[in-house]
Amino acid sequence: MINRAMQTNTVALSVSDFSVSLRAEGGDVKIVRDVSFTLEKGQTMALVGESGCGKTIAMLSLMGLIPDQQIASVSGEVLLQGAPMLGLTQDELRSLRGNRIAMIFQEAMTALNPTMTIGEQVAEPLIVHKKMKRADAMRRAEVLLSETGIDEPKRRLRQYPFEFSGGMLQRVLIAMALACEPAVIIADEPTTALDVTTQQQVLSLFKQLQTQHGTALLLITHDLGVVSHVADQVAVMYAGEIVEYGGIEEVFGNTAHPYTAALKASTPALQQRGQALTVLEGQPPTAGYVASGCAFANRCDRAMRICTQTQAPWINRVDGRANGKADGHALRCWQYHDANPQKETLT
Amino acid sequence: MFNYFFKRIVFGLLTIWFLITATFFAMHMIPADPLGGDKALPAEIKQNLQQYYGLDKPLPQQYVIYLNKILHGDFGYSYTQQNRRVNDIIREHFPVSALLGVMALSFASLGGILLGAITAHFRHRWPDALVMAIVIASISVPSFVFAALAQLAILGLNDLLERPLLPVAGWGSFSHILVPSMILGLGTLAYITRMMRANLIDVMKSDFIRTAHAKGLSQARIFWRHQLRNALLPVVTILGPAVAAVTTGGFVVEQVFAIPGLGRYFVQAVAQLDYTVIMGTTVFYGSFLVLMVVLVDLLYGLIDPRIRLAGTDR
Repeated sequence: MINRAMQTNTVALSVSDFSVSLRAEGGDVKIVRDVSFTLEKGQTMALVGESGCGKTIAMLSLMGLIPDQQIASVSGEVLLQGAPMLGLTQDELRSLRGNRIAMIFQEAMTALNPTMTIGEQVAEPLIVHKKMKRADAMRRAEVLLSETGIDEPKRRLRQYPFEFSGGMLQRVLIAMALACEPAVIIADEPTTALDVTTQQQVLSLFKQLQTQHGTALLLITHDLGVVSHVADQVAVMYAGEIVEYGGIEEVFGNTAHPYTAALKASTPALQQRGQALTVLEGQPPTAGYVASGCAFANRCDRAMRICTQTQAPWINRVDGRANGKADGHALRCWQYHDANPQKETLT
Repeated sequence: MFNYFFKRIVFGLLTIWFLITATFFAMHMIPADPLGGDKALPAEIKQNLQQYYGLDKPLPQQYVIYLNKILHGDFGYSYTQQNRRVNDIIREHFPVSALLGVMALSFASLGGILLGAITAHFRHRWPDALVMAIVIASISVPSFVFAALAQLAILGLNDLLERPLLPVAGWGSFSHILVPSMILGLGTLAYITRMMRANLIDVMKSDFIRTAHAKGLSQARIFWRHQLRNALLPVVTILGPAVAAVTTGGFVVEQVFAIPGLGRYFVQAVAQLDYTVIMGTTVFYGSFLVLMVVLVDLLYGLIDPRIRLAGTDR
């Protein structure tokens, strides 16, 4: 009992067996498959994977930002601070969005309305969710801008997005997301469009604001450099499902899944100067592709016969047991199963 | 900003000058005589008249005289209406056309924005298909067809109610303006509807609308505060040409509804080869249109902060 109460206090977002199917010509396509993770208060989790693996779709549908007519089905359980998010009406979801859970998008340059001042846009969630008066909301927006490191916030409030640089606009988006002090911020590739120095500044800003406000951050990215810089936990996604999950030191220091290893190997490092970059051969499967075994098997250099036949259950990295849950450091790969799978299948 | 408008005005003046010159020479190239008329005039009287109007002088000289007069704001006397100055004709009849035009434009813009919003909201469903079918018809069918149909409809309606609800033609009260202005504005309304629909759908797909949804704003707030303004911007640019469409369309509609506007005089003058009236009304309308286009540019600058602030900051 006590344990459970404590859990709901510290867990900001918990997602279990979350699946999403979208409508497409020629039948529904399952884009996101049985995604599970927990995000603790004040922590950062990175959701990594190649483009097109379903990261963004998963988060957009969690937020209810995919139009109903495009969605074929959504299943699983999503708890925001212990309260279910799936199955809410649009109005109920709307009162959560930008209020309890906020989202930041990749292209800061186009993510803001070109005909409204920065101040109006940052103040908007406060006016809508907190029922603040315009003048109060603007004062709060000024504080938020200065918190996100924007100089002369009073003057900047009255300016329009075209008068800001990309990095500054990203800060504005962060200020806007923070406005109502949400429990969770989902940031979809927030630094991809920025140059390296600005990237570092924005990431440090995230960390600093997180400790200040206790916000949990879910970072969608394909940049492993960014991940190692800010994340506490990592979920590696491939073809719509999570294949490896765990703390940053465990997943990166003790990488197990061949896909994670391949991602890591293809990240350029300074020591590799002059050498050809490692490339992961092949393409990720098209959306909705259902493999009989492991979706990665055809690109995996360690694939065994069982990999093409049956998908591995969740396997604990430490003891090799299949406990069916994504706990601690866990992955879905037969290589790490305690019983030798090769013998099982080679008879 | 100042340079921009200065340039616009200079180009506007050049346009007007070109218009004057082209009309002047084109008119004199018509192989007909403004003093010919139905009744042949005795040679002496004709000569007197030619002298009076300066028609006996060489063409380039006539051109210089005319240009000089126009610079002093004098459009001369009408050839067909005795002792009537073109300036008086414009002063008396332009307000009628202007009122009709303003009504038509208001109807077109408000209706177009509304219908655009409706079609964008119901896109690819039946209300959209219905409105778009009407819109295409209104663009393709000339206004005099609708004018005649509207008159028939008014007649039928008056018969049905057994009392005159609306006048079929004429001028004088609001009920006289109502139907003609709607007919006159129909083409522009259709054009604005199409444009609004396309713009709104375009804006709906943009990133900042997704941001607005992510902020948890209501559909209504997103429409009014985020979508509409961005979709309206391009519509403002066509208001200049829309004024042109409404004024030129007005010639026909005024004729059909027997409205004593300037357009009727313009058409009449061309038929009667009344040089001064043709020139006067053409130059007047031309200058008016140029003025409208410059005004629209100014208005656009006021609405769009990207233009308004360009060059003033930093």
